[in-house]
Amino acid sequence: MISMIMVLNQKGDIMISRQYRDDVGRAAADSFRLQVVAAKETGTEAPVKRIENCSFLYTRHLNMYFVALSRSNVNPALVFEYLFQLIRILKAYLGEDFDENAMRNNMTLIYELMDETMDFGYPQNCSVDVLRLYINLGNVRPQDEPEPSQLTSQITGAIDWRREGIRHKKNEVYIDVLESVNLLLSSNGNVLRNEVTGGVQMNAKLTGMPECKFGLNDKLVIDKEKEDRKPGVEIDDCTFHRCVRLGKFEADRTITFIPPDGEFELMRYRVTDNINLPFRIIPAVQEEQGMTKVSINLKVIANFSDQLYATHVVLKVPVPKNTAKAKIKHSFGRAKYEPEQQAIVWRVKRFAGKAECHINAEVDLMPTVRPKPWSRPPINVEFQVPMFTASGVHVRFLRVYDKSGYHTNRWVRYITKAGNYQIRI
Amino acid sequence: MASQARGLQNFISDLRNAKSKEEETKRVDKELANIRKQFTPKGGKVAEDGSNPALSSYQRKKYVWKLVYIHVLGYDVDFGHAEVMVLVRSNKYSEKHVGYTALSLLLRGDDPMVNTVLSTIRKDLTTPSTSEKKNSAPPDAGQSLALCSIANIIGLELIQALHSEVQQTLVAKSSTPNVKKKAALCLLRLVRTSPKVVAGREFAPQVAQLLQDRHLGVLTSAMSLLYGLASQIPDDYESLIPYVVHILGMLVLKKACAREYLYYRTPSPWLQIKLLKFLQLYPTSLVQTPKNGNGKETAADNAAHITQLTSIVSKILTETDVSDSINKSNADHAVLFEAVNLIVTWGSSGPDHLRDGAMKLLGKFISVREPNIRYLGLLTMAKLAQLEGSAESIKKHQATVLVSLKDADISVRRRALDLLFVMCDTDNAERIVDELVAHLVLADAAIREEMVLKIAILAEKYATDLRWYVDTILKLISISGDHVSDAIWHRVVQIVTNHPQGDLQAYTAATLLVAASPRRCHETAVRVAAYVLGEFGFLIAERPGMSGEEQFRILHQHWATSEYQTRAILTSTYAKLANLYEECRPLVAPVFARCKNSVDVEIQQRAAEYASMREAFSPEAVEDLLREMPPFEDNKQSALEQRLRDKEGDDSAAVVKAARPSAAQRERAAQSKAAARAVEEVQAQAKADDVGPIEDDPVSPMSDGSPGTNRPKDRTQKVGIPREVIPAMRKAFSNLCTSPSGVLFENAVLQVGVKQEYVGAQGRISVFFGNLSKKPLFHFRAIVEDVEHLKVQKQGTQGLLDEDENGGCTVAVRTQAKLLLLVEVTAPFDDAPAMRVVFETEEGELHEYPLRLPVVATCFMEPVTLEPAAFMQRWKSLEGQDRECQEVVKAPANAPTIDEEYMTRISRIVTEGLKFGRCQGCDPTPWTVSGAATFRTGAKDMNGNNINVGCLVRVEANPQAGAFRVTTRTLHPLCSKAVKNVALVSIKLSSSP
Repeated sequence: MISMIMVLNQKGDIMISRQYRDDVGRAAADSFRLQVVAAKETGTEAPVKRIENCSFLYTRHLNMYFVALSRSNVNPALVFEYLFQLIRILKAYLGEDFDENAMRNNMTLIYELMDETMDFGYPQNCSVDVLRLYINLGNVRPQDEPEPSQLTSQITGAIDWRREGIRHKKNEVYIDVLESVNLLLSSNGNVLRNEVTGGVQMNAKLTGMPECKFGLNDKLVIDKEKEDRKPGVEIDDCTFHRCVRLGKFEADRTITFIPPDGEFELMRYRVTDNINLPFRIIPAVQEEQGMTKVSINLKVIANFSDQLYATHVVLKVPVPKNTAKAKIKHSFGRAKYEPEQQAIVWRVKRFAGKAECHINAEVDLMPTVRPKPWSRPPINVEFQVPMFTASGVHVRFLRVYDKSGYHTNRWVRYITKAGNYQIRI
Repeated sequence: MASQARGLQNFISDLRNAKSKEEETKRVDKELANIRKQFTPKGGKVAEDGSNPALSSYQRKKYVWKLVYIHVLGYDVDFGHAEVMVLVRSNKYSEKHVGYTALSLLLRGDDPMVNTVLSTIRKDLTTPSTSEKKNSAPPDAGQSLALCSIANIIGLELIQALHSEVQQTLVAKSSTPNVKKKAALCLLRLVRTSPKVVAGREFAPQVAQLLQDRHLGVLTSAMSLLYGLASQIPDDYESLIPYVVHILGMLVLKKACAREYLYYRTPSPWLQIKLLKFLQLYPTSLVQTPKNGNGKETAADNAAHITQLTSIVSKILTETDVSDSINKSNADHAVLFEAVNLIVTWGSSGPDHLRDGAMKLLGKFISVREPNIRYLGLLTMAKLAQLEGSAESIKKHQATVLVSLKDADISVRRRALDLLFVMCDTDNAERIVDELVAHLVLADAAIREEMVLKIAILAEKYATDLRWYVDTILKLISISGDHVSDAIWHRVVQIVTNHPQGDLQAYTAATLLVAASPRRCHETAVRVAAYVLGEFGFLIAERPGMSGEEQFRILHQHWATSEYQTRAILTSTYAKLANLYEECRPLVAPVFARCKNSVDVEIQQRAAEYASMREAFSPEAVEDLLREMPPFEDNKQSALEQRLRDKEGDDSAAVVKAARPSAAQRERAAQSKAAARAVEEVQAQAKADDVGPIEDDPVSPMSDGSPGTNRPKDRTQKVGIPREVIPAMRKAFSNLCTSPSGVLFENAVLQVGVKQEYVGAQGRISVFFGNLSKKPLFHFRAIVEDVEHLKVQKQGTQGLLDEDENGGCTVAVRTQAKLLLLVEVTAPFDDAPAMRVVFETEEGELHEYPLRLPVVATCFMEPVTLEPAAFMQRWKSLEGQDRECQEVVKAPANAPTIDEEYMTRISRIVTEGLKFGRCQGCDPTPWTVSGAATFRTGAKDMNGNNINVGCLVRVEANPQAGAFRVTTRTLHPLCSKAVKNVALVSIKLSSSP
């Protein structure tokens, strides 16, 4: 199990350390500093490092290292999940981009949180909603505090993520379906990798202890209902927030739950079949005349309905290291050669659906003494398409049942973003 | 200029202010892109050389400076060379300067660009000045720049093209002193990269000319060059010694030196040091006349310069004094120490008074307060101590050196330790080692490891009594066990195992047992104790409080606290203890049972194997497995010396010292060598003896007639064993009867090797048939005769065992056929099984070699230890006609007289060769050796037990007559005969000097 959690700053000094077991000492931080922080290994090396029989599992937030130490054969997935949760909790308490100073100023709070979320090396309740019931510092404002006696029964009870007696004037539920598309195309247009990872974010502002039922156009469900509507989407893997009744899901694939109050991530899923790629990109890159010139021709087609539009579209077309000049012709947006990225970066704020765009660049290269062949890295694309899901997933229904039978407003949003959207040239 | 290059300044300050590495890289990438853009002309009009003609001089300089700066920061810059070239070619000094700087930094020796600069550099090098009136740069600036960049770029092509120019510049009359200095240093760089560019003999006179230069700066550079050249090929420059001595004389004796080269009133110490260093390359210069010296004149000159040199050195020795000015005294001492080094290199060929003087001076220095001087004093003294005959005078300073060992400065302590190590010999070893051990207690961690290593080496080297060595190492472990590396205790084990003489093994076992008895003792001690007790614990088991059980108890108390490695050793020791002492078995069994689930694989495996060994193998095999380890191979260089070498490099005084064997070591080595030699001689003698075949000798290789004659056979010509190899075969066979592996037969075509091992009644014999001829052998067959007393299972290379004449396998050139025989003996026997090897060569010659396998009765013997009384009782009971066998053998005339040493050899034959157990104490005179053994057979008796035959043997020597009587008494007449025969042959083999 986890023996110790420490937080190091950029120089490798210990800012926070909490020992849960006494089989490692603070001296271990030295070896970590020497081998990981000083070697600037992070980013390229594996996030698990074994030094002298002690495993260091680490992740970073800004320039701080969150390190978990263990001497036993611990499940790394568990450790990393805990570290991510810890960072999430700290974000909730100290603000999205909490930094070293914030950490130093809230030392006591952090120790309190670390004590509460882990016991003898075993992770405990990491839900912010629950933690905020009894740790009320930082940005997390106390809500109407329950009685201490109630508190105990609640956090040890069956539904520890929601307490009784919550009241809202307006009963509303916001649902965001966020998808990110990963794509890797070979230079001749073959799909090498293609998948969508999605998540359903929910913000529930509901009174009492409502029972919710949620439905997506999951293929299995739709086939069962035998309605001859559009075929459903085949969802490969999904994981749920712990409020979802898994037994019920196993039995008839209905998603039922009593939601926590406020924001939470209801589920995550992955889809690998029948993906609608939002952008088609046809590259033509030619190196000419013994590495003195490169000509690049790109055709970008927005492959979604013309009623929608993409925002924040950025195309990064790599060019060789010894680029001297680039002459770029393009139909809209802004494009320029950015030497820091070693790429021609083309930015479009608003890209309408079904639109087509050409970009044409002549790149002059500088002759070098020791010519090296150009590695031709892939084109990288970033974008956001609101109200569009690449997987085709959409929310079919959300029903809220409560004893009082109040009316609920539901708001649904969809956004598709680029994950690793790459096209080899 | 600073105010002009604003862009450059801004760029540099941007980079300095960059908060992170990424930011810096970004800025650099941006700047590189900018420079690339600037270097590419608009409209694509490039000048002939690839540069951008539109750039102004200022811009070009600025961008090139930026490139240089980026390059210096470690980023890859691989463009812009065209612009650099433009700058180099320019006539303006300011541009040329930038150009050359960039050139020497950006260009690598193997770049193809080098060719294009060659002509420019050559031009600059050869034409001294193209000075314009306005130009304020000195006229030789161009030359100097060119020389600098040649030295910095150093490419093979560049060297080839320009080395002659550099040499010319060096000696040219027109060159200014500045240029000469640079040229000398540049040439030195060239020579270091490719030594062949300078032909020593032709070049030496030119250097001589340089050495006559009056400018001291030129001389210093020239001496650097000369020293570099001479350390590569010293012989070529020997003729220059007089010049060097002359310059040295000028500086030291006449103090002739330009003012600017006086350093605190010392005339150019740097030059002096270089001169002295050069002289150190010629250790024989005082005795030997230079080779090219012919005629009396040169001889006289030579004598003159030798006297001059000695007077110079003695002057340096006498006149150097500790002065108030630190700088002055540093300079003087530097020169002085070089002079002492020179005396050291001369060694005994140098004048005695110089050596004595040096010694006296050093003695003074090592007692000086100033640590630098003391350091150097100790260092030099260690070098001096290597000279023969200096040891005595150094020993006088032993006390002073010991004081330095306690110095505050660790580097001084190291040197003192070094010196002590070097000056140690048999006489003072004990004292020095004791002192060192005493000091080890106080020494701090930084030096401890080194001390421990050195003490261990010294103790081993100069131990007159190995018990002292063992004690010393034990002390080391107890004082500073953490620093006693594995190599050190491995060495102890090795030495103890390899010296069975005296009571060393028992002593070591007892001492270690005592050392391991306290609850707290160092883990290394536990390891040594575990190993040694496992091996030699039985030697002390009789002593009070040291029984096997007690040994186990003492070792096992450390079990819980020790590491896996130690536990693994302990496991093996327990297995050995359990094997030896019945009472240990119940103690050991639970340990093994627990260890079977150990986390450590090694321990788990050992425990599982040891625990199940008894079920899996016969008791004899177990016995065999757990027997003491055989002596270690004595490799020339011990692991400790290797470590010392790794640490200190090859040329340190300590390493040289460690590599030389000491008297004590030599003596020990001689002992073991003598034994080995005896064995060899015995074998040689046997060869000489056994020329004629002994007809009735059952162990002789061939018993059926003389195999040399070709038996008539109907088919083709048949080749048998040639007569001349028979003696060798006979000897080989006899040898193999008592040794586990060897060559049974060898001629030009075939080599038959045998490897055998026996456990109880079973044996496993591998026979290898190697083809030594140039052609493959066909129809290769080996036919092993079946005999009734042996059960034989055969297994061999495909076709090897075919009965058919046309069958058999083919043995290709330089390959082997292999035959594996598993034998089990069922009854006593007195001969050896026959094997016929038959094959055809390519020419159709049919070879047939009747051989005998060295499977004789004694192979299946197992030693038995009997009390004298029991032996005598059995001996008497076995008296009788067919149970006893007796024969007298006379030692040949040239054999040595029969003495104590000879008898130990005989007893070794009985115990090791015949595998009998020596019965100590039942021999009435020293001229008798008695032994007992059991002959194991695989046959079962009525009760299902294996039938065994007890055998007794007695060898009695008659020193006066030079004869041996061998008597064997066994239950079985055949056994008696077989044992007697093998014994006789072995004794005969050994009865050679």
